[in-house]
Amino acid sequence: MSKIFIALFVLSILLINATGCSTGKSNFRVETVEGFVTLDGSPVAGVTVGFSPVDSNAGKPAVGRTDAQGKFVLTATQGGEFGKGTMIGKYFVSLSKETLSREPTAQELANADKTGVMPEIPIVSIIPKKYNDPQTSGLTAEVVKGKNNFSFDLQSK
Amino acid sequence: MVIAIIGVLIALLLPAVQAAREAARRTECTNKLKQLGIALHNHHDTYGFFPNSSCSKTLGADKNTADSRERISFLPAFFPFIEQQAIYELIKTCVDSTVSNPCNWIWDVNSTGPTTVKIAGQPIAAVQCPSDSEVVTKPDINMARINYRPILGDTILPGGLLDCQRSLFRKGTDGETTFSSIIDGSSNSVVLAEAAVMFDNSKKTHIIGGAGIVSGLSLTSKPSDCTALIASGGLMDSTAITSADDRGRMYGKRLYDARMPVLSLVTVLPPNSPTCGNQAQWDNATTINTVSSYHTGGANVTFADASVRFISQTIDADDPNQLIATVTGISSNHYKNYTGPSIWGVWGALGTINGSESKSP
Repeated sequence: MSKIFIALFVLSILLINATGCSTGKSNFRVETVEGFVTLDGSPVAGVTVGFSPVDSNAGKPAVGRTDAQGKFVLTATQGGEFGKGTMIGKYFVSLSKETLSREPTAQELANADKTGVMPEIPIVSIIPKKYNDPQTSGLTAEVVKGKNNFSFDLQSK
Repeated sequence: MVIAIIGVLIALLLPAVQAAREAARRTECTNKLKQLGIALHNHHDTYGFFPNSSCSKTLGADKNTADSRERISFLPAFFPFIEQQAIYELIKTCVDSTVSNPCNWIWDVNSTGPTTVKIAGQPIAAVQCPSDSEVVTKPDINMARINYRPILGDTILPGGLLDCQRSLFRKGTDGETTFSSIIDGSSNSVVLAEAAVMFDNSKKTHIIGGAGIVSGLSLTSKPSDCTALIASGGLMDSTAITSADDRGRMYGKRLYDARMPVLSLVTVLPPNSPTCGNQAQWDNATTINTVSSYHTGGANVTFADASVRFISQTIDADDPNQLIATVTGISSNHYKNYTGPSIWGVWGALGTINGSESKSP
């Protein structure tokens, strides 16, 4: 008899632990999306790859960032735990990489300490500017079930 | 046999006990935000306006904008209403002083002002969330932690002291806000939120959600440049910043500094997304400071009606790949030039008091 009680007790504890509370995990199915970004044939590192759903009800915005080989892996931005990949659907693609045209000098940094405002250093776009905006990039992608692979070869001219 | 069963039972119970402890800490955290919400209302009842983000009118700092008195943060104005009258008097004496630059570096334990006020290292329990278990070590020893910070709109912010036209907290020299300024409704506007300190020395990790440096980040950048750091392992850990000076600048411990990068939170990226700045000298950087907490699945926020709600990190924040300049048609300084509905979904709408959008979570 007592063994049954112990078994029941263990079972109930197990159940309490198993159910728990929701942790905000992604509530939609994601498909793996990978690819490469090249500019005039050579890979570019540090490019932000953005997928914006054409229809906001069918798709989730996603981002990726290229490594030294120009490879990116997308992750949905509203999946709670940033699940890998994104939802099936049609997407506008935007690509951007902006950096400062030069490093601020020690003198400029010291001045910034006094005023709280950084000097205006022009920002240069490594990727042609039209690719920055999902509306003007002219690039689209359709994510389908299974593994997705997209390569974007950009021309600087 | 019996010992084995007891052992198994204890092993099963332990996670439940840990979860209960976190639930207790979360409740305490919620309560502190509620107290700050009530303090906000009491301030409005007493003075007829809400506290300022810098150049505090309550302190009289708006009359002394020539020196660093203008740089005193929103927090001292709350002190009389959260039983910190003693520290309030100290700061008030400093602000009222007739010597030059009396409150220089008041937020630093190594304050150099003539009337040296040693308050920077004094912990204020009312602004510390117990879930953020960050341990204070050198070089920032004696700098007190702050976990609750004002929401300053829904745009990327530069350094310096700003007049953010879309938030409840304004610079004292540019007027003040009252309940009638909250056009979106006080129950639809977030005014205070949680932020974990930037690095946790004990865990050698960055704040939850992560922080990173995007050197090309500007006021017109896409927020996705920041989110993208998750995908590429571009987020920093506590060993990334080697300069002790730079590390001192980054911690969420400058209770009394009103510069935007160390004070502000914005509703651009959803809670527990990364925080980004354009350089390691964080107190002067252009930043996206994201709401973050160590609670599972989201963060607590205070609304302008003093209610506290838990916002899930899956809240709709629309597409971070949008370019604010092309979507709104406004080319620069969106924090003050931009009026109208937020482009960052429900979360962005909550962060404005006058965006003409009455969305609630």
